[in-house]
Amino acid sequence: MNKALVIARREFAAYWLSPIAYVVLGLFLFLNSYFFLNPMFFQMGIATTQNMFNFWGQLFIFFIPAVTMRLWAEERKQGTLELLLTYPAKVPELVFGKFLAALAFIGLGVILTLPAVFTVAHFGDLDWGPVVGGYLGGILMVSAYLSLGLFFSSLTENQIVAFLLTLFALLILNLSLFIQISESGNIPYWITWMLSLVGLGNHFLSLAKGVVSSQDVLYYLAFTAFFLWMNALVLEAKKWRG
Amino acid sequence: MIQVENLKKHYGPTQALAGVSFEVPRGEVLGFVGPNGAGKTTTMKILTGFLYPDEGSAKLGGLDVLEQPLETKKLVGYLPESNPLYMEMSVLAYLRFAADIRGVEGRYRKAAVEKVVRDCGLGGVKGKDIGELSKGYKQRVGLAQAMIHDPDILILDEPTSGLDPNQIVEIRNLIKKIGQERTVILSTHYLQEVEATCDRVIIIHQGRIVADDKLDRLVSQDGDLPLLLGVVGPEEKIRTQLQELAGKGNVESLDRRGDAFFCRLHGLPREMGNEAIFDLLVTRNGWKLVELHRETPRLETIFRKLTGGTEEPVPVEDEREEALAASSSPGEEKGGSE
Ligand SMILES: Nc1ncnc2c1ncn2[C@@H]1O[C@H](COP(=O)(O)OP(=O)(O)OP(=O)(O)O)[C@@H](O)[C@H]1O
Ligand SMILES: [Mg+2]
Repeated sequence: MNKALVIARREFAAYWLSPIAYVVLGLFLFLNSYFFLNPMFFQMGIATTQNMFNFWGQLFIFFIPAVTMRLWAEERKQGTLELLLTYPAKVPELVFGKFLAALAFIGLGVILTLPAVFTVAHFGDLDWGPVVGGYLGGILMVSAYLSLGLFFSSLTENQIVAFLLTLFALLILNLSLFIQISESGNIPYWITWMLSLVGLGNHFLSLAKGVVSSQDVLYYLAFTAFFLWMNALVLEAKKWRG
Repeated sequence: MIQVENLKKHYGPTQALAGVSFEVPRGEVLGFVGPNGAGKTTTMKILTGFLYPDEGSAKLGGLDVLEQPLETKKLVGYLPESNPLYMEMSVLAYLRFAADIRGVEGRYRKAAVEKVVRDCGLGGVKGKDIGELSKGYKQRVGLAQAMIHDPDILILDEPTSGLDPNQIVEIRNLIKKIGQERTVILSTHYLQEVEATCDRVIIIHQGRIVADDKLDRLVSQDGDLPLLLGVVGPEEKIRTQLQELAGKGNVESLDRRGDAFFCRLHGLPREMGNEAIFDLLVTRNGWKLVELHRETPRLETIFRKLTGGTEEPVPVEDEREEALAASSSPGEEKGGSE
C-alpha cells in the first residue's frame, strides 16, 4: 500500500482514540447548525447557504489548530518520530499522509453539514451554484489552514504551542475578515485591499458566492503546497541537527 | 553486511563521533559498549537513517545510507533507546501498522504479525493497548516491530535496559535466537549481556573506538589468566609446591573453608594446563582437589581500563548475584567518564 495512505489511516484512527476529536467535531457541527438554522433564516424565509459559509471563514480559524496541533508535536514528544523517520518512506509521503488524515477528519465534519443544506433546499428554492462553490472553496481553504497547522506542529514538541502559533498565524492572515466585519471606515482603502489579497478567507468567500475563479483556487493550492513543503524541510533539517 | 567509515558527528559544539570505522560481517552479533555519552546511540541513528553524519560513510548490504536511504532502510529493523511506541494503539493494530509502513505485502501481513507475536511472546497481550503493558512487554513490542519485516540487520539500542532480571534473561534469549539468522548490533551497559550474546565487541569512548575484537581474543589479550585452586591438605606445603611450579610471588592465598585451602595462581604459562596441576597435587602428593578452574578476566576489567573508570568495583560473590546487582543498579557499570 502507498506509504502516505498507511500513515493517513493510522492517524485518522488515532483521532478517534482521543476525546478532543469528539469535542471538536461536536462543537463544529453545533455552531454550524446554530448559525445556519438561526431564527433569522426562518424569518427571512430565503433559502441560502451564505450565512453558513460566511461563518466558516472564522470558524475554521479556531478549529483547524485543534485538529493539527497533535500531528507532529506528539510524535516529537513521544519519540515516535525517530521510528517514523527510519521507515522506508520519503519525508513528503509522511507529511502528505498526515495532511490526508486531517483533511479526512475535517472533511467528515464538512460532509455532516450537508443534511442541513438539503433541509433548506427542501423548504426553499436553493441556488446550487454558491453551494457547490462554497463546499469546493471550503475544502480548499481548509487544506490551506491544515498545511499551516501541520507546519507549526512540526516546529515544537508542545501541542499547546503548536495550537497557539497556528491560531495566531491564521488570525493575522485573516485580518481582512475582521476589518470587514467591524466595517471601520477610517482605514485607508489600499490597506483593506492589500489585506484582502493575502486574506486567506477572502478567496473562499468569493468562491462561496459561486464565482469560481482559477486565481482563488490556485492561491489555496499554492499556499497548501508551500507549507507542506516547508513541513518536509523542517523534518529533513532534524536529520542534520539530531 | 555493515561497513562504517570514519563517521563524524557534531551536535552544536559537542562532538559525538570523532571518526568511527568498523565492519560487521553477515550473521554476526556485535556488542556495542561504552560509557554514557560515548556515541553508541549516535552511531546507530546514523545507520538507521534517522541522523545524517557530518563526515564519513555508512553502508548496509553494500548500499550507502545517504545515497539510497529507502533501500537501506528496508534492510534494517530498529529498536530505539527510548523504545517509542504509540501507546494508545493495541499491540495488534500497531504491529499491523508497522508491517504496512515497512512494506510487508498485504497477503503476508497476517503471517508476519503472527510470527513476531509468537517469537516475542506477545500472545497473551496482543489485544491490549500498548500503554497498559509493563515495561518488559513494551520492550517486546519494540522488538516485534523491529522484526516485522524479517530484516537482515537488527539495530537494538539498549534492548534490556530497565528490565527485571527474569525479563532480561528472556529478552537476551530472544536476541540470541534472532541473532542466529541475522546481523545484529546491540548496545548495552550490561557487560554480561555482551558476554552472553555477542560474537564480537566494540568498545567506544568519547566518540572513538578503543577496542574492537572477538570477545575471547579481547579478553585473552589482557594476558594473565589466573587459576583458582581449592586443595585439602597442609597449607604451607601446598604453597611451596605451587611456588616451585609458578615462581615466587605468584600464589595468592585467598581463604580457608573447612579443610580446604583456596588460592589463586598467577603467571602460569597458558600451555601448562590443568593436568600439570592435577599431577602435582593429586598424583604426586595425594591431596584432595576440590576446586580448579581458570578465571577468565572479565570484559568489565578491560572496559574500565580502556574507558578510564577509576573507582574499584564493589566486590560481588558470584555471577548470579552480580547480574542481579547490575540490573538493579545499572549505574555501577556505567561508571565511566563523559
Ligand atoms: N540531540 C542531541 N543534542 C545535543 N547533543 C546530543 C544529542 N544527542 C546526543 N548528544 C551528545 O552526543 C554525545 C553522544 O551521545 P550518544 O547518545 O550517542 O551516547 P551513548 O553512547 O548512546 O550514551 P548512553 O550510554 O548514555 O546512551 C553525548 O555527549 C551527548 O550529550
Ligand atoms: Mg545511547
